[in-house]
Amino acid sequence: MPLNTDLDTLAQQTKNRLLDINTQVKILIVEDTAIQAKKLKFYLEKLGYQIVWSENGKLALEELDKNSFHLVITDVQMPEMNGLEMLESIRSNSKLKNTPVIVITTLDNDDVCEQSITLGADDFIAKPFQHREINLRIQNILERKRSEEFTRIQLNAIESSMDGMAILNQNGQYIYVNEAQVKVFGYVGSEEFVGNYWESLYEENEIKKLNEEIWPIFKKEGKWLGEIMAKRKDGTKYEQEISLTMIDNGKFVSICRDISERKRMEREKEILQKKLYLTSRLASIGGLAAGVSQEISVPLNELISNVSNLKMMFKENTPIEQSKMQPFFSHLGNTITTITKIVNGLRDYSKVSHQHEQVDLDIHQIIKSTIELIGSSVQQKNIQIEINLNATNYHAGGDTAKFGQVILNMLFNAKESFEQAGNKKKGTIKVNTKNVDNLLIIEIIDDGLGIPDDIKPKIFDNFFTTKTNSTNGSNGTGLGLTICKTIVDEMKGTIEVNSIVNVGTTFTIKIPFICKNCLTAP
Amino acid sequence: MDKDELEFLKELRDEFYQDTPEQLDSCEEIILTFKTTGDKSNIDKLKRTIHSLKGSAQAVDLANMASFFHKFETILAASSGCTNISNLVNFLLLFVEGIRNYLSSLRTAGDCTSCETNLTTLLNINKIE
Repeated sequence: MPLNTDLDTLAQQTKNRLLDINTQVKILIVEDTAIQAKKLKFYLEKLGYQIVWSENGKLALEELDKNSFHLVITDVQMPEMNGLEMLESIRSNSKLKNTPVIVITTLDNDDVCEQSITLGADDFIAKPFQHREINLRIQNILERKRSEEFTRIQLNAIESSMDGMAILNQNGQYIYVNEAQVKVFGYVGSEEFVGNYWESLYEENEIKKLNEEIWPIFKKEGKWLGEIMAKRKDGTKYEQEISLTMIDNGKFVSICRDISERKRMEREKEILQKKLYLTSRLASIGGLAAGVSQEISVPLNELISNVSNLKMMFKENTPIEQSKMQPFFSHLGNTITTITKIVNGLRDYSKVSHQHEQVDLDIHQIIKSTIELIGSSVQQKNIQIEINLNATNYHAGGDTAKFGQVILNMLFNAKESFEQAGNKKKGTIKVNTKNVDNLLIIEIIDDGLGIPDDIKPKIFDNFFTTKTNSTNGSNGTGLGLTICKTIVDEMKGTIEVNSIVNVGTTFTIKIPFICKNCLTAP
Repeated sequence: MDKDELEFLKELRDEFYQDTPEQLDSCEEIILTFKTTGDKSNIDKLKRTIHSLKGSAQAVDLANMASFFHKFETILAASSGCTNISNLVNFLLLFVEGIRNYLSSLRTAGDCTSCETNLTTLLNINKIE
């Protein structure tokens, strides 16, 4: 019948599962009578236990010395060493003392029963016994031993913890503390602690905080974690991190640690960081001031020189031909243009350092717009621009104008590299985008002049430039790449350069995606 | 009881039938030594052997035999104050003989009412109050 078949299957499955568990259990039978031992062994092996048989107590102890067993089942009356003598040896052996022992005895022997209990037998069973009965007793003992062992492990873990652990009753009185709890409060033994109320360990202000702020949250949620000022036995105060957890019947567990050293180090670190920041600010201001001074002094000196020459010419009181005047005015114009560029560059640089609201940028759109802007001037120089916008996620947080400036500066630099090479060949500028993990990667690649290795580390420095053209007097401000780096840094990105002389240069910008909900729509 | 169990118990009983006569011989030797020497440690030896035989009889489900052994043990335990060694020895030897016959009958015929009656009578006569 189908129903019975299901039940039979279920019964067999349960039996198999129990057999699987039992095969891990090793039992030592100690019995001098072969027939009795064989019968017990037969039934216990049928239940899945691993059985070893020793004929007397002495042989059993030898076996226990060599191998470990989950349980010993022993008869009492045996030659050489009887069951009770063996039991006594087991309980006085540090290695074996926790081994469970079942004593098999006769019902009418009260002395043996009493002695078995006194010597520490875990159970006794009277002959004649049913094998189902002994199996139940085995299972009970093993279950109890597993629980005891688990409890022992837990207690060891609590006792050896470096964090202070305590259990308090519903009145806030300590009922258990571990070693670390005693030490962290500066006490010597747990007996000094147990029975005290927690309020005695905290300052009045902290007690007020505990009662008014912490306790209500704790009562409501059943847990709390935070920092508090605690008091040692000698009255000294220290910062403490503490967690409270409600357990049964209103009791609760507190776990605490002394964090005063950590706090001191954090405060020191904060002070050092502030000093470092101040120092670097001063250094960069100094550097900037030096750079500005240097950059402006050059064209200014040129201006002074030109004006001086002009004065000389007028002093001679001779008619001056227009053709001779023209170069002076041209130089004057270029010098003023250069100084203006530097001032504008400084203004741009200062704008960059102000925080602007982050908006959702369509990077691809910015790239296309910028290329359109400079497209014609680039084409005139026999330079082709190729775009490979392969990124599928090309939105990032930033400022539209600023990021446009980054692309513009990058493209100009690429264009300049061909001009510096003398436009001897047809050049290509490639603009690529792609996604790698959570990053948007933008590459601007040119096959221009390239950057020498000794120059590369300096290209993002303030006012560093390699661009000089004495023919037309146009100099770079040396701030273009600095501005790019600052803008990209603001976007929590990075900018790197790879270059080989006479092969080309690749600028790689990496920008992380920022969650859309954090951004404002443009 | 499944087939394996039945087979195992039959083997165990056969082992009992095979080994017990030797144990009974050993009992007789102990009794005769006691008769010669009067040394009561032999009675202790006898008690241990009988106790073991009782357990084995129980193990192979020979409950009546186990019961006889048990009653014999009781009498032995109470015999420590007995001064009539000769009578005691006779009783002990008769019991061992009785068990031997009983065992033999059980092995061949499966039961023996007369053996049981004889043993019961012997034990009742020699019961020490």
